[in-house]
Amino acid sequence: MKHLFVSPEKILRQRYKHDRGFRAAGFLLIAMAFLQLPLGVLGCFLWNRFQEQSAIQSQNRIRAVDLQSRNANLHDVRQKLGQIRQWEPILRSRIPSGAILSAIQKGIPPDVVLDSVAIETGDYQVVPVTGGTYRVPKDYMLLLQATAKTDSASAIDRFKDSLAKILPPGTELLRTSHLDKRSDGLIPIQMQYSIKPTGNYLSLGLTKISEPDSL
Amino acid sequence: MNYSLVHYLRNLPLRYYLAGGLLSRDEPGVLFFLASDSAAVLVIRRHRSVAYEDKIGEIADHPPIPGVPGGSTPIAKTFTAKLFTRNRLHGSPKIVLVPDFGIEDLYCNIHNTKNLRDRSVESLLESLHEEPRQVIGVWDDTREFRWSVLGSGLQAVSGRIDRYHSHLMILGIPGEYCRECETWAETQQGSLLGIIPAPIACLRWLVEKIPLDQHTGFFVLQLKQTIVVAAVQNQALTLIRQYENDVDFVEKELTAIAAEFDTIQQPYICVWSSAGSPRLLATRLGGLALDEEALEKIHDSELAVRNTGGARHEARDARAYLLMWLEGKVI
Repeated sequence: MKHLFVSPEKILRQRYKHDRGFRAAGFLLIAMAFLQLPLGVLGCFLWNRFQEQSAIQSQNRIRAVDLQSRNANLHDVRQKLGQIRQWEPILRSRIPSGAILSAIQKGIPPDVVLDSVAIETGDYQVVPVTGGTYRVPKDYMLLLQATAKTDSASAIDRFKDSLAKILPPGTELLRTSHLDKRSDGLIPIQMQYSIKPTGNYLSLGLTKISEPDSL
Repeated sequence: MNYSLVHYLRNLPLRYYLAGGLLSRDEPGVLFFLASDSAAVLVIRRHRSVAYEDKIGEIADHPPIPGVPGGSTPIAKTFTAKLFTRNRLHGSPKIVLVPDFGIEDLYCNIHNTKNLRDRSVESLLESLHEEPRQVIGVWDDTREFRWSVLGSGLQAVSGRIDRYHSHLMILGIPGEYCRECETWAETQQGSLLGIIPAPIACLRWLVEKIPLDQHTGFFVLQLKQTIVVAAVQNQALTLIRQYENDVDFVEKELTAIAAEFDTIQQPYICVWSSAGSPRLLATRLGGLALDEEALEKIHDSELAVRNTGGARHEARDARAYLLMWLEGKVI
């Protein structure tokens, strides 16, 4: 008598509710749906992360385009700076000749007469710059000829000591030679120094204005 | 019945499963006896009676009762929800409806299978569905009916007819009433397990519970609108008739039918009444009244239910005994 006069469609739906087989299937379906939950959460997390990364990449692309456009504007400046940088070895290889002469002048002892001063250059380096090529010396020769008023060798030695203190570090006394005796009986002495353009000229009384610009 | 995965997935009772139905094993059964003026409900849980309420036709949202126009007053709580609240029950109800139809709303007749053209129950149902006159002969009702075929012992039958069955009972009730019942069951969030006409449920009960052996017997059912007479031989129905509530006419008819059977022994007559005592009619017909005492013996015990105060008391009602037996058969 069960299901008498109940439509087949209703009977089917009731069996979905009450039959063990359909209940088991429903349990499996719901359990599987719940198992998908962590996967869904992970998916949401990955999706959010992907969205954030996409936003960051988009911002980076915009910044890169912006920087490229600004970089294009700086092209002329960079070219001029490049040209200036070509002058760097020329400027670095200079020595402050005036300061050296001034220091020598101050360092001459009273009983020594400086006869001549000569600065010679050597060991040239070819530096190409815009508009031509420069020969830049890497070594400077300082030739001094001095005579002691009295026939005393200690005066010349004091002069040498004075020069050793005031000349830039790295300066090397290459040679000291006695010249021919003059008519007044004094013997001139010639001294040859090698000066390297190291950039350190504190002993000459020059101080750095500021740190050099790194071009 | 055609099962398919697609149909299951489309009609997956997810809300029912998630509401606890997936693991629920003892959902309450609610059995209604639906007669005008005397509708009653028996609530069952774990095959034990919980409550029996009478005159439920006066309560809002009651199930469709034959011959009683349905109301459409808005309600805040469904009928079964209120019923469960009163009896401290919960769950999705399993509903069985036992309507007491008038003569014009119930077709029931026993047919000799030799007179049927169809060779199987399925084709017989198909013929009834297409055109009842193909099977019944005289049929002038224009309404759509739902049909069912039972064996002479009122058991479900299927397959070939002539092999196993000499007699078949053909049942028909209005399709519109069935749809009303299905809709009502849906509104109660319940499962409709059957719409069993009162005479059929009662006869099956009596045939099963009252052994007549080789003796011929008559079961006379006094219902609200009709009196049904059924003849039983060898524990199988051989004849069923419905009459208006005219006792004199029924008495004459019963005498005529008894004469037709041409039996040596006087046939047993058992009288059951859905409302009131059957003693008066039983006395008129010279039969046995299936009154409270007799029903108690048939049921093997008293039928105890809980009243509104919570105390248990005996439900001495013929309909309650019928519904209690029916619960064991359907739910």
